[in-house]
Amino acid sequence: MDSITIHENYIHRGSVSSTESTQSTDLEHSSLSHRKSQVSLISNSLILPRPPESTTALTLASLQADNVSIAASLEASMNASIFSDEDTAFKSFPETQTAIDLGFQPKKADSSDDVDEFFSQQKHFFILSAAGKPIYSMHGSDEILTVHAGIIQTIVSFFEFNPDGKTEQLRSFMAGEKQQTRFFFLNKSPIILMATSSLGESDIQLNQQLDFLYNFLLTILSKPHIDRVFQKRDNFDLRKLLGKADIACLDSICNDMSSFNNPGLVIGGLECLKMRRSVRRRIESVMLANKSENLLYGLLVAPNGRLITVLRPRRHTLHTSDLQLLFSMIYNTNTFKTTPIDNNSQELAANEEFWVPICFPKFNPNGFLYSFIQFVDLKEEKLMQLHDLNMGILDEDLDPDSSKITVILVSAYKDSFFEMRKIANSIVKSLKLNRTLFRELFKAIVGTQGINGDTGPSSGKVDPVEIPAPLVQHFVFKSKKHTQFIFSRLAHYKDPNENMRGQLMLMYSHLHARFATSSKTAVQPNESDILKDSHFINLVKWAYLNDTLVGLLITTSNYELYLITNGGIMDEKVLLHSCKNIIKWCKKNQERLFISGGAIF
Amino acid sequence: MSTRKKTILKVIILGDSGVGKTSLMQQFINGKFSQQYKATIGADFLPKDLVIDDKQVTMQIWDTAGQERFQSLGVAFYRGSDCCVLVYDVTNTKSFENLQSWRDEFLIQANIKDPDNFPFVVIGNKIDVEENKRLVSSKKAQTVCASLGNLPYFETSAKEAVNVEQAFDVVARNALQQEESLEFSDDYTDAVNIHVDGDAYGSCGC
Repeated sequence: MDSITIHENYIHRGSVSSTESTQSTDLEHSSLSHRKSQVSLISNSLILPRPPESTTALTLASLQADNVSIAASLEASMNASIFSDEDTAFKSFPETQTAIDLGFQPKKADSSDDVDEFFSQQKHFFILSAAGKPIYSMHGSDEILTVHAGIIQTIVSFFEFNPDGKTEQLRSFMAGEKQQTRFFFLNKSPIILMATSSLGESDIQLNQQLDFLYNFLLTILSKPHIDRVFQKRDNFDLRKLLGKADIACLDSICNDMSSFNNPGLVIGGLECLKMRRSVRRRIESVMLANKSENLLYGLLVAPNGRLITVLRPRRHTLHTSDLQLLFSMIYNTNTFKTTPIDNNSQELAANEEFWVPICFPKFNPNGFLYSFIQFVDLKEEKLMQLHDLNMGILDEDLDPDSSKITVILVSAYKDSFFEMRKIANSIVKSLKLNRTLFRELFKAIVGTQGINGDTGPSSGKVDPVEIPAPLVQHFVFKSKKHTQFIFSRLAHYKDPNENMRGQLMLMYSHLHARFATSSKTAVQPNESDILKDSHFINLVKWAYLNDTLVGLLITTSNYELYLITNGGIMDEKVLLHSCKNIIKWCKKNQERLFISGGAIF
Repeated sequence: MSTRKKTILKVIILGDSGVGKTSLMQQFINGKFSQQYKATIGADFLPKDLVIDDKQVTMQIWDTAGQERFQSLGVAFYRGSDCCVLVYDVTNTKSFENLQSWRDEFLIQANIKDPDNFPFVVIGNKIDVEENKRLVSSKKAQTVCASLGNLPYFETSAKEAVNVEQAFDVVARNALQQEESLEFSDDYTDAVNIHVDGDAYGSCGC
């Protein structure tokens, strides 16, 4: 891999990590400059027109002349291992450590009045009214926000009301030390949003994040409501309409976007629970059998917002970002949580029923739909006994929410609570009492059943090892047709914790950002079919401490594959063969991995 | 972010270049005065927390540039103000004569729906100067303020901190009254009914 070193730009550690104590920063800096060439982002991007039968040359985009040899060596390995069907024998590799660490230390939302701290943040989100009145900021006190709301409004207005009479929309600019902080603006008058990022994100990504925040405001207030209050008076203080829970949800959405802890937003899709197609079909027929007149949508969701299936009318589909907003509301706030007596931490309230008005902006920003929400714990002793499931897991100290499925029933009628509750109850009853369905759900979500009474890792997630995909520590495979993806375990059955998930997603976000910007240069005239079939391969190498991580993104018109490998081992042939295996495996299993259509009535 | 919000009051200060808008604001917020003149570019923003009749408020003061070339920003700045402070210099007759046009300009640009009841406060600044340099008399100023709709009038010295607190106290009170005037009737129920039988909705996703 040493031969593949295209130093396109340097990412100093300071830009990926957050503030340290001043003393250690100086030390870090001096040691950093010694290994400057090591702490770098090395990458290249290639566009591969799909060869008819695996033997055409590459077309290179944005590669300098002296890098051609590298490209050629990549080409050779691509042709050998991705696009041909020859099976090369796998060498065996030692099991590498599964720690994924890019040195990235995300910061959470705060209301600190420390100005230095405010300016040291790598990421900011601001929401203000068109009059420059503050609505929300991720970091900083009200006082800091009050000042900055005015400044942001002025900057935006300076372009909107040009002295020479022209009207322009300010989108973004780079500023700050080494010009590496990106400022991005979204003017949704009467609301203005701004984000800053020093984390290498692109305009497209920041735009998407601000759009998500804006849509969250619509979700709780709806478009006409916002428009009306500002039509009545420009000086309206929108914070009057935002409750404690709404602010908490904005905080947690911002936290997730800053720590890259919401894979769906980076990847652009929904995650699904892996399960056999026949089982999913049976669950769908249970839902269909219970539907009644005023039900619009039904959703069954596994922990972490993984879809089990959806129930929907033929004419209406569900929009990805609407569901992402809904899941953010459900899983990221304490609105739906309770604190058990013997415990300090909060968990989803399994014995309550919720009825919530929610505006789904992509479905219709002008009004509310009403959602019945209920959580069902699969780890219920009586049921486990009834269905002969291993009881050992009850003694394990697991996240109490990791065994709860969510039933969501959406209606357009606000007085249909009892009707929805009736449907929910009978769906839940059927799932609990049907031996096959309950056992399958249990296996996919809680854990598989071992022979000797113990419980193994759940079957609803994939481990790169079982594919097999040597060298691959983790991957995400997105099917563009379904706008759904699967998020693997870390190799060897380890579930990434929150921090590690953020590190992974930071790498994938970099890949995604580079893909989005480079793809423009890749368009070739009169070659629409080439574009359609073209393969985009993007590689990022990230050195941190003694570890080198390599992230790889392959996109075609049908799918995107993100993966990561670490430990500095980088045998291209093996790695690319692993890619091929993952792609083959995902295609073969796509009916288990993705929901196509759902239960349609 | 904390969730109990203080009421935010957007206060805009207008007046000719050099009448002392920035000095007034500096005196009010920081209790300081600087002899040096520094033109404001565009606008400056400073927050000031106050308690008015047990109510916590934050004044977001927009200190605008008096210079002509920044006037195109007017629309943007004036929009959504809760109070407008008009400042003139008692030693500068022209700045006094311009008060009315600043006021009219504000009412037009800010799209004020009820101009007769919008709170303005007029400030005659620089009363620390020797009597013979003063060119606008108190009496004359009071007459004009009365004719413009009984606008509250204060004579101040930003340099010697005379009457500044008092003037801004009235600014804050009147702004708060304006902010609270049309108490918003929260009406979620008239959200549009969604007719799910129509097929006007796009499709995407799963």
